[in-house]
Amino acid sequence: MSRLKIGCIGTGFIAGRHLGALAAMPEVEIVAVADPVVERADAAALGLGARAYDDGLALLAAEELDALWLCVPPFAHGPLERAALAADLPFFVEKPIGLDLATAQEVATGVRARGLLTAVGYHWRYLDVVAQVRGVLGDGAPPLLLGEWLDATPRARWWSRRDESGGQMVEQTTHLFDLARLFGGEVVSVRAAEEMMTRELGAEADVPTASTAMLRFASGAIGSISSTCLLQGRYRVSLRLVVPGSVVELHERGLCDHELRIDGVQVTRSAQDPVATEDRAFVDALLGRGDDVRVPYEEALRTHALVCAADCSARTDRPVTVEGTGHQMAP
Amino acid sequence: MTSTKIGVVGAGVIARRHVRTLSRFPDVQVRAVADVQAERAQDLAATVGGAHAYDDPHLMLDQEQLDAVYLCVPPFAHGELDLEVVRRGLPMFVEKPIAADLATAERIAVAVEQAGQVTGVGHHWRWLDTVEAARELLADNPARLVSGYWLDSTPPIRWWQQATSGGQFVEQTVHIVDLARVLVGEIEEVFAYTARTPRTAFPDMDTAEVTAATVRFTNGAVGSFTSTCLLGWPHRIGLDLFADGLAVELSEKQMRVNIGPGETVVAASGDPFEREDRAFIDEVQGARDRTRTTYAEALRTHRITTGVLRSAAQGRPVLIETSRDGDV
Repeated sequence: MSRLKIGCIGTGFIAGRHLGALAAMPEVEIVAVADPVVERADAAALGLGARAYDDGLALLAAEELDALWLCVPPFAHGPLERAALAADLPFFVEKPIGLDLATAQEVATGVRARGLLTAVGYHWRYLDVVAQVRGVLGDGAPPLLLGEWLDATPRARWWSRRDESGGQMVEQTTHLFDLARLFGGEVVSVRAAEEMMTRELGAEADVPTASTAMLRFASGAIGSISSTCLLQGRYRVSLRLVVPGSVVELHERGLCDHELRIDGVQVTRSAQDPVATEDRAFVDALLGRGDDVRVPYEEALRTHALVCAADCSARTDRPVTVEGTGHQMAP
Repeated sequence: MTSTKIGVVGAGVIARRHVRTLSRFPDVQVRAVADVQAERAQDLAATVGGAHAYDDPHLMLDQEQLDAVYLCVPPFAHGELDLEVVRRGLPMFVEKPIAADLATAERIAVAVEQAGQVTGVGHHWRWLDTVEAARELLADNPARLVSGYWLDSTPPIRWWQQATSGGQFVEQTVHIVDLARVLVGEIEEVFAYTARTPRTAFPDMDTAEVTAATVRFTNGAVGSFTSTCLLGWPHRIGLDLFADGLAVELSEKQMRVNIGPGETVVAASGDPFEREDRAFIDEVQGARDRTRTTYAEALRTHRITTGVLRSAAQGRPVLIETSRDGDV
């Protein structure tokens, strides 16, 4: 059997996790990597026996691939997806899928038109503890969902620039918005507020340092999701689901360290690697032997539309109706 | 030593707590207790020797020579009663919430301002020693994100209906909103959602089981307050404050402080009710500025909690009157 030829654009932290997971799969061959920081691309390529590029589009022009992993910062989305679409190349893309909604909607239209296989890195969805929550909740949607992303400011320079990262809600807390949709269903309106605190991070650091978003779900349920990047380290990243008589909490202490608490008692502490699990699922789908891609592009677009609505509300200081995806699903 | 003579209206849980505290003060005498349920008034009066029991507060006010009145009545019972105490020029300690609605509280506040007597309101969290400590921590490093919670059970009291209690946010979460005002500053805008989750165990309940509000403070900080009564126990009741490199979580029992490496948990010590009652009595006896929550001050908190309900009902943001003067 010939191996799947894979290229990866971006060789930062999360790319390293994907490359590690993919390199361990015998049916996968990582043929090329790209990063504008060419030393980083070289270093990644060397360990994998892959070719290195300093430009993602150049990689796509030169290589014959079966699938592409896009692990680039939020501002870099758009041209790479368009090139993948033009080549009918299935792709995995990290969250957030863009800085704004328009680019993501355009890509989604292309994906839909070509019926292309895609997956997006909302890796919480692959956690066994998340499936466990589903089991605990049954069919009912919780009437109250509380999310917190209380953390330090990531070191990458682009993260602190709003025009490059989109800010904390768009870049990080999007995971919690996605989970809130998973458990609460679709959101119809959102009201967010944000705070900008001047800090010693240089004049270019302009992301809000705190924000809070309140969600009204179609079911009538209410969500409240707060974020701050002002702290010294990760303080609490969690989603709490309140149902009559019970509180179900998911906590993320690290990429491979999750906890499920029910009514204040720890039920599960998991060391599962959700990135490896999502890569396995996408590779299986590419090979035609699996059908467990939990967040195709279209699904990620709905989460991104929600986060963009929250961001718009915070910027404009008024409630915003969630537009949906430009491809409204039946209720 | 002259004794300050107190009349108490209401003989429920919170009245009993104040009576117990007041009766320990050597310079205070609880002279009378009034409750529409005569037996309850008699039972509470019996705990302090020589106190008279009334089943009508107006009769108590007519017959007793009092130096101050404690109004420990359910939210719906505020109004004419408070105004009568004000008309008599008596110092007045009022339990929170100061009314089930805003109009009643605004009317009483105008009367209080004109009469100018001593007032105190039962926002006892302000008297936690941990709140003092939190205030110091935040003095030079103000909170930028605030998360307030009252995630609890449904109280077993018959008056916990929308019209009679004002609902959970007005009746309970008011403590947390008040604390946020103390530790962060004034709130200028609120936007809120409420949700109903009918339960067979509470067939008559007509008030929101879930209330959530996003708020903006005048100093730019942002926050949220969330209430629910859907649980069987108090899951989380308190206020979380996040500043530059600093997390502070306050509950009625303790304060948790995190500055990155290491975390400190400080238990609250002492009795905030005793401090609150002592301050009010001191002011009744002539000391100045002891009470931390005057009626006018409590009104500013009440405007926020009632503003939250108005926002939820109208589906739009509500601006909060933040002037230091009463809204006339």
